[in-house]
Amino acid sequence: MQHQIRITVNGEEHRLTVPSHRTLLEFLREDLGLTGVKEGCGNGECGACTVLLDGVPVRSCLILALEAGNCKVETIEGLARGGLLHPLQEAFIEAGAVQCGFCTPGFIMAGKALLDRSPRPTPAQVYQAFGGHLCRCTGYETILRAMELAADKGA
Amino acid sequence: MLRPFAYLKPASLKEALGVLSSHPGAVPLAGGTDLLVDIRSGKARPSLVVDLKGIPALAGIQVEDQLVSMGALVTVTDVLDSPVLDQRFAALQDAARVFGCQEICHRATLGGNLAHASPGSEYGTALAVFDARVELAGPDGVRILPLAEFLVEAGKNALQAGEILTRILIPQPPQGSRSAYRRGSRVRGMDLASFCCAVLVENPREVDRRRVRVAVGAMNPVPTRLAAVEGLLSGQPWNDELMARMQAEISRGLNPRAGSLRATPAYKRDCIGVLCRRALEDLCASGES
Repeated sequence: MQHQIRITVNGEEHRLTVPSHRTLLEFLREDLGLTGVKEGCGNGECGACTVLLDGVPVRSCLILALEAGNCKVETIEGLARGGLLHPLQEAFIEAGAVQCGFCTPGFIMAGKALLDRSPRPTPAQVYQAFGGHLCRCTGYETILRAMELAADKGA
Repeated sequence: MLRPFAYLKPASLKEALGVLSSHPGAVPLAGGTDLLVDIRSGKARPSLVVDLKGIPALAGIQVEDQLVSMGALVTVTDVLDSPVLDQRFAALQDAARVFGCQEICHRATLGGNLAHASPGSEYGTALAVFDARVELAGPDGVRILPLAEFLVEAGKNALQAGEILTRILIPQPPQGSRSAYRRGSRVRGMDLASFCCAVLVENPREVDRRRVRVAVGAMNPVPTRLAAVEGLLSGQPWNDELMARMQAEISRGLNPRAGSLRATPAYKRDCIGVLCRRALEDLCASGES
């Protein structure tokens, strides 16, 4: 079953036709070419597919594209402006928090949602925000340091 | 790619019930955190997904004189952030804190959690100590069931064809009551409970009038109130000897199945008594001899 969907992604409105069973993850990657969003597990357990839906971090692999109709979605591609990285992206690079990079978009989107709400989060708040994000490379320390750096930068 | 299905988003409960009763392969969609996993694994094969999120009757937490009414679509985050749930309802917020990662909590709903009927479900267990009831709506009208009758078996609820869970009804606990939900799990963050308990104590500081409610989850096929333990503790001073007896009574009375991924029966039996004791003693911490 095909449906018309109107959705705003990274500030740009799109009107497309999608099948009912298309997930938001598939829609972003395949219909819009936004391959920064990753499929890690497909079950909502790893965090690699995290995007912001009306400012709220969610697992795009567990949401149908149609459920995001008339909503605003933000992905990693929307953070940099005019070629300038977002302070959170800069902080991740400075802190060495990016190795293979696969988990990074998910961490950054969750991190952005936290900093938008709490500009100086406590370690407990950072842990809570990242509790469902897995990284196989960094051991997480550099990611936590990146969040401190980002808060210092006023991200 | 998920197996194909059709999608509808009704604007009213009446419309949703009409669709669900006229399409045999239709399933309701709330937060999607269980349904989409099941569709992906093949456990669920709907021909039609009916998105309930456009139905106002299923939303919101309403506090009335004797009752708190929670819409089936109330999310775990809604419970955590709710300004209307006071300290008596702490167990519901304890459960929200361990439910899963924040991204899941922002979408997962109480109705979905109950309907999935997992033996160790956070809200199946936490709501058990509130004597919660569920309101079900279907083609033949509305009916209300005690939660214990709604949760029939592991993974099985009492919904009949074409019915959905619309609201969760919680009689207001007496003023001054305190509650808690605790669980043991392998990791913090994203895990189901290996064993869990909820407790509610009325008049925590007045021994004679103190009444205790205890429920355990992930121990039996469904969350279970422990009447014998409640009887043992209510109206009694809680000394070490009584609490040790209570612990033994809990452990003796439960027979969790073998083969659970998360913990062996012996481990569960050993731990659940400790967990309940700690939850109860924490609640009455300023208390007792």
